[in-house]
Amino acid sequence: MHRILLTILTLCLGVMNAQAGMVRNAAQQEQNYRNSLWWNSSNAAAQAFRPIAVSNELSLSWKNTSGAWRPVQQAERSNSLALDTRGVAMVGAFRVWGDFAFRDLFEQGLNYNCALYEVPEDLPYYIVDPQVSRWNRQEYDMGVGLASPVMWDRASFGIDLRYVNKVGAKQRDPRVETRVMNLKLAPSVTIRMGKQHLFGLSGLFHYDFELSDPMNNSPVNQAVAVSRGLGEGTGSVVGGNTGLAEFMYTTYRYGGGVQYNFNGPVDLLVDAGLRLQDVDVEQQISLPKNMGCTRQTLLHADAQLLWGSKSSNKLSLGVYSRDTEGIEKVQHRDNTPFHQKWVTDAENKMSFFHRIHAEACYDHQFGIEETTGYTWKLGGSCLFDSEDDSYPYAPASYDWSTVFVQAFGARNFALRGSSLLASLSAGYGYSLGGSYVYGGTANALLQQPYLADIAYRTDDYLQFSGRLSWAFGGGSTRYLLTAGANYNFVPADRSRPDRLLANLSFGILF
Amino acid sequence: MKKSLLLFAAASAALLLAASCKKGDDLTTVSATIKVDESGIAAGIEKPGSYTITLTNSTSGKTVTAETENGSATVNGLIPGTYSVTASSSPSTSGGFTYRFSGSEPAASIVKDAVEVTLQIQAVKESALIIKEAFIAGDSYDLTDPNDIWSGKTYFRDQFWEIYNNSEETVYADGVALAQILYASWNYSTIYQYDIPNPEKYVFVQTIWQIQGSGTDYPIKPGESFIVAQWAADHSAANLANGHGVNTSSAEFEAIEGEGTAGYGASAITITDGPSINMKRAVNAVGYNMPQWLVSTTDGALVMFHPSTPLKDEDFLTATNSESTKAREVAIDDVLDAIQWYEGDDIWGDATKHNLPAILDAGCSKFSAYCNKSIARKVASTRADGTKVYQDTNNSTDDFELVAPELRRGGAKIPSWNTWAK
Repeated sequence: MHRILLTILTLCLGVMNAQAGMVRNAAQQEQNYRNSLWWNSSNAAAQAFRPIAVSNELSLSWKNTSGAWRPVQQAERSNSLALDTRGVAMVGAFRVWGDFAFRDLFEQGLNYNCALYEVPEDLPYYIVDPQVSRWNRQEYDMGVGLASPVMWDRASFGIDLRYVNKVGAKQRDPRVETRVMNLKLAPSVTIRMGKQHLFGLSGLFHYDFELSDPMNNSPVNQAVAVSRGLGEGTGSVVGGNTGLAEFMYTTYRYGGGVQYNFNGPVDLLVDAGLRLQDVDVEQQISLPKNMGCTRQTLLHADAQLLWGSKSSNKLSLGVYSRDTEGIEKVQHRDNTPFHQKWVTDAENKMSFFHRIHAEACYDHQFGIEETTGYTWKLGGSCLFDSEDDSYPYAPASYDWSTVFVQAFGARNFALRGSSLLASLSAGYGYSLGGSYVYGGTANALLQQPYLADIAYRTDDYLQFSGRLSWAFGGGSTRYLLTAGANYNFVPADRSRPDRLLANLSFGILF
Repeated sequence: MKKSLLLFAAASAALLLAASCKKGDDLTTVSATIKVDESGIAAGIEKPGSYTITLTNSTSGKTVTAETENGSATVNGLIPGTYSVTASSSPSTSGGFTYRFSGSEPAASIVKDAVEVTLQIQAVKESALIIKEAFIAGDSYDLTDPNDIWSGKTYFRDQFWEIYNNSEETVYADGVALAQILYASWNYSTIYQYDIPNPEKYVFVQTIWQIQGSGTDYPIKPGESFIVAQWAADHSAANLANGHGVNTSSAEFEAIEGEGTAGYGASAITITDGPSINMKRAVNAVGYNMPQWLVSTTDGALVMFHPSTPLKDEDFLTATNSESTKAREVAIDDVLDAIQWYEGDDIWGDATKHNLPAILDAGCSKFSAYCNKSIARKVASTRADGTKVYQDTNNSTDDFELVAPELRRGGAKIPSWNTWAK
């Protein structure tokens, strides 16, 4: 593991040193990503036609989160340190990019999870425990991308690779140590048709494996419950002779997408795709018993539009729909001596999860002709989120919808030898309603996370955020110091908790 | 540009529309026919007219019930799965005895439509002596975290069983035996099998403690009970549970054969031999040398029985699927009462892990180890003379409740031959 990290870090640093970046401050950094439409898509090959500007970054950051207003399985308080680096460069005729991040997280006030590093919305098969706990986590996240040179004056090939390794440990009985490995491959091809049209095809293969080992350091066993979704599940214990064994989560995700780019009076990129995901959950490596599985279908479509002088206007639209089925297998144990195994007799679709997300964002930049990036930016965004889950046999249902609108602005000050970017935003989240209904008789512990979460999801809330980024230093290296905060609260009921996120980072732009 | 945006908006709307049509939010259900086979009931015993069939899904724990007509019942709308299927009926009286009827199939696979399940019905004679209260879990105390009952010390030497005469006639404690069931390995990876004719007519144990006597030494009158203690002592003593624990020094019987020592070094405890009558470890198939009887504080089962043949402490049965496992068989017909207890719903939910057949206990008690609670039988009625009749449906789920341990709860009387109880 250490050798892999050193290799990736060396590669990133080498890439950074290979070519000095053109990004000199936060506004230019933001513009670089904003205007690189293909960089924001799922197609790596198009970097040969429409490359992002070369930029290299290295930063050290600290984040602090506090406040009880959040999904119940997120930490109430957390501190994290992260080392991030990324770079883009030409290596021969190939465009290469890479990034690496190491994150150390210290979290408190987590509840109702004694199995997973992070509990996905549509994965109900995990261990629920009643003890509010601390968690320590570490993440190693590294990616590499490659785009070939344009071949036959028409086509290019590319690939994105990502490897993530995470480990998390719950610090209170019942404890758990969970290790996650993600591997992603996304090959792509881009074809030019005429001067203004680019077509792209991308594929996706993603493999996740998580091994979660619950344990107990107390002299007596810990009462927990194994969830099957929406408050259904079975009581169990961690510890002792008959306590739960390790859980294994195996995920395969595969799919593809098509992209179209028109670059004429306007620059339009449309990216649509389909993704299929299978997750299998098993208990006990030596005698695997299926604890449930999910089958997910996700459709997405995104569009980005740039127009105006120097792409001063940008409109982004995005929508995805995700449908997941929770499947429980009926198994019996074959007790043939020395060849014991669990045999599946039938599969039942027992739970259903539907999620829709849609967003629209517009911004206008003023003074782009300045060498230090834009002088002003104004814009707004609107997000719609909806979840509709059910467990008909219980019966149980969980649904909510929210609209979030936001206005934002930024001013980029050109100072002597440095520049300062000040950003502010204000937003309002409006709940369109929601409810959690449970009609079953399962362990009451299993309903607690949903009861807590529906209160959060149906709050109307205000959000304010601000950020200052100061770039300074001369020569080929610029330093970037950033401080920001984001505050959420429920204005109609000040007795409801709030949430504050603060971050501070120091970086180098090459 | 406008055209492009319009095209995208239309595609997005179509996507949202397609997504809003929920697909597959329906369940497949199946039906099953349950038949009862009464051919195993001895002649002369009046058979019930009908049975209550209970199907319990082993995953969800949900139950469905139906009544038999002409020996069968059909149940519709079942989620495909593995079910514990039981048949029970009201007791009947024949030849001066009361009989209970039941049959069970612990793991019926009902995964397709129109499955047939046949239950063999057995008749068990109702007993005068019942387990009225059992303190098995043990104690936890001196908590460092008041919100966490597991943060302190644990103690379990004050385990006791209270045996009560639930009938209106005097019976005798002589020869009554107690044993913990040996059903499977510690993690249920091996369910022990034995080479014995009609194994379904027996349960299997490793250690049997028995009350000695001539047959009439220890009368128990209606409304009286006798206590069997693991070790009859005042466990609140400073060198034991130090202000906690149960005082079982008044117990009529204790499961020790004499004074001994438990533990090692600085933690060693002297097992004192007080006035309570010592039982005999009549069977010791495991070669257990500890001076007292330790019953599992979690996930176990116990039978109280009166052996119809003398107990043999040799020539044990060897499990066919575990060479090192030795056991003694106990005929179900000899069992007076039985209880089983589990900590997690997932163990009880898997009928293949039930330590007892449903004819002995169709339910279970649920408690955590060291929870400071005992299981006590519910009162069914009170006689004119004030003595209580306790509920006994052979179903621990219904018959017992969790309470703070108490000897002779509800005013159970002490036998006259117990001269040391205060």
